[in-house]
Amino acid sequence: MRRDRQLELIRRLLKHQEEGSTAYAPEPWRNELSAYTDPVRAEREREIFFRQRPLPFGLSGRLAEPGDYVTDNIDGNPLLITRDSDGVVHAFLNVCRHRGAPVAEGCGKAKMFACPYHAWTYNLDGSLKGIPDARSFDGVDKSELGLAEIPALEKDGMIWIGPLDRTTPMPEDPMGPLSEEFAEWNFGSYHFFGSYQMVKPMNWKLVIDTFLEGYHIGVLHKNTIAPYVQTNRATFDAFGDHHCMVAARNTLDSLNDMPEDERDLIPHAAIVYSLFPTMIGVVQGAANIELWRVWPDKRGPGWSVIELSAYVPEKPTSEKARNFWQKNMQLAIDTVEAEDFELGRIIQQNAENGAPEHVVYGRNEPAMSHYHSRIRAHLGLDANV
Amino acid sequence: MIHRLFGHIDAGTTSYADRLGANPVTSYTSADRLGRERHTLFRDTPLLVGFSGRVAKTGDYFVEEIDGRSILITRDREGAVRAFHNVCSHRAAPVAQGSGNARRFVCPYHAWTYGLDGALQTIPDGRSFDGMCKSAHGLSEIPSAEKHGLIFIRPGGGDPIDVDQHLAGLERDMAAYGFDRFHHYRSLTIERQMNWKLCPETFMEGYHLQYLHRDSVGPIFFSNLMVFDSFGPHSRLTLPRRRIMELRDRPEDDWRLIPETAIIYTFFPNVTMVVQAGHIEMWRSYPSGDAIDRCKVEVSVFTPEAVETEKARKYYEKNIDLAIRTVDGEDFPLSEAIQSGHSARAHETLIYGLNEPALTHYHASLNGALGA
Repeated sequence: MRRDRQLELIRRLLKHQEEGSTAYAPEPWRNELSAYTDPVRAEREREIFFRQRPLPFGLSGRLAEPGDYVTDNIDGNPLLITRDSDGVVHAFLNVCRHRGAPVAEGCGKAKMFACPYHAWTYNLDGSLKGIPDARSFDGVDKSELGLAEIPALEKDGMIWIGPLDRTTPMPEDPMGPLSEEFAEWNFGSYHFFGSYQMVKPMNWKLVIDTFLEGYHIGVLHKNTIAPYVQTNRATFDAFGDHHCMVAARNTLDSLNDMPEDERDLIPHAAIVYSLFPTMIGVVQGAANIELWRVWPDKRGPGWSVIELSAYVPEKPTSEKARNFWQKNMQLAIDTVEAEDFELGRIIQQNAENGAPEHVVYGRNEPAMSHYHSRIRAHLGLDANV
Repeated sequence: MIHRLFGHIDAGTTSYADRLGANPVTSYTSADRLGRERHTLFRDTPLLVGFSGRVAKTGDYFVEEIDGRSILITRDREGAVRAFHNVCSHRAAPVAQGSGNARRFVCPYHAWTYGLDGALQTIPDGRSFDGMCKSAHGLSEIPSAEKHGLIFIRPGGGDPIDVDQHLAGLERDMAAYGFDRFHHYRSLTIERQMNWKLCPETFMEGYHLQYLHRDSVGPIFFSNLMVFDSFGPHSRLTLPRRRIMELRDRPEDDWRLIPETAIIYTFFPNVTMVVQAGHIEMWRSYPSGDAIDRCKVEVSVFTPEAVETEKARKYYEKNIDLAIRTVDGEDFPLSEAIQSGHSARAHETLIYGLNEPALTHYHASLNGALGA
């Protein structure tokens, strides 16, 4: 993050601290609770947000070297994401051209992929390499029998895949106005530490909501992160559909007596990026970043699949370093899964019971109203409920 | 047949189709297609549901759930096989469950009872139904037929079943086996998240044996080597076991086909019968209502002798367990992954090689029956 932007954020946070304030939206904002339950709306969201838009997948370090691959299943699409021998990232449907079996499983490093059914082989760039008993397939054009490819883009250290409808083109810069700031982090050099996937009984937007305000920290998280992060004390900046929220840690105070040229924001803040509308990135005090990725589960609007992946600035070389990052990741899981998602499950239940009809986001929750008004705009709904 | 198999072994060949096959992926994803399949294939077509041994003696019965219809199959007092909708004439509850031996069927709801011939026998508090014609309120019967030890039913009703005509040439094989003497060993139900056709298809080529089954049955068989013959819409694949090579040192008079092969019959449209060296498996695949990506597979195992001693039980259990574990543990999980690939519409069509003639024949038969 650029130095002048850091200093400016520190000044804003110190001012909020002094005034006992936080970033404010112009006014409170109402949302329909049915946004989380209505199956018709859920289907439209799947089309618009998960099929017609590219999806952020992970940092470049998820596929660090040529031959690295990851399989995934997003909203019913079995995917294979690879880095080919020229270092280019590709995304494919993980479906053999012969009889439709998946050609790869899990993640790892490979020179090629052999389908487990009849051992048809594919290169890292998806092209068909070999057919056992090729005589029996005389006359087929092998060059037309590669894996079905999905657009993939690697930019500013982030890998994007899709749109999954395979019709809408990949935009040149899905990061939009956030691109410059995101690029400054140099996330492309980060090391992939680990990931954790879960399926939860809550709408996919409730998962994102978890990360959109610091109003709840002192209450819901009083025994976990409240001792470290200030409640109801954050800046907010929109970058097109995306946004950035910076929450002050309890140590922010120490910057007050420090000359500006010695001030460093990162140890004293939690910096939360929203890559609209399916990913949250949380930059923590050691400049490590946690990515939360979400998509709807096939069980319906009340279920989602969530993946946390953790990236660290440098590859840990000692047991001590690994333990440090492991503890860090575990704290994130424990806090979010046990506290936020447990409450999310109950909120989803309440929403499904249909009462109340509306919820309200305060002026102190500007990211909530920004996120949900952008969601409504993309769905073609009136900005105000 | 053994000479044909040796011919392929010597030449390194298999039975070939005369052209490549192409099957549109919509066969596994189109609701309209499933609707036509359910109507034409699971109501109007005679379906094989088991060997005679499933209802060996008078009073034996079993219930077969066929695409949302519960069908009760019995052997009546005259020794004839009968098939009925398993639905009480009073309030439509099922009158029988599972399988067993009974003298009559008692509805669990109000205890109306029916004979093995489906006739309504007694009504508790009969006075309250005075004026109702009992003889018109038996179980609703559907056509059934028993021949060569095979039981067929036509779930949607209609014409009587002519087994030999339906078998279209396969009756010569069927008559020779003596299936009427086989014993029912056990049956099980498997529910899977895949289109019903993926079950019969998994048995339709030996091209995958050395890859998918390399740690189970693969080493027992020659891979990608089989003799294919078709009989109307049905088909037969003969796969040689590796030990068939030992026959070459013996006089032809001692050659026996069955111990040295697996013979796989596809009874159009949904049943696979695997004739193994020691037992026979019958895999019956049914759609699950209007869910295109779900099916229910009923598996029955038959043995040439009644399994009564512990030693016999151990012998059969080992073979049967390997067979079922291979299909349910290796083929079906892959088939479910295939279904999710189809649902994602990864490709427009599947390709069947010249070495997969049974698949091409099967889909041509399906298209013929569905007028596609």
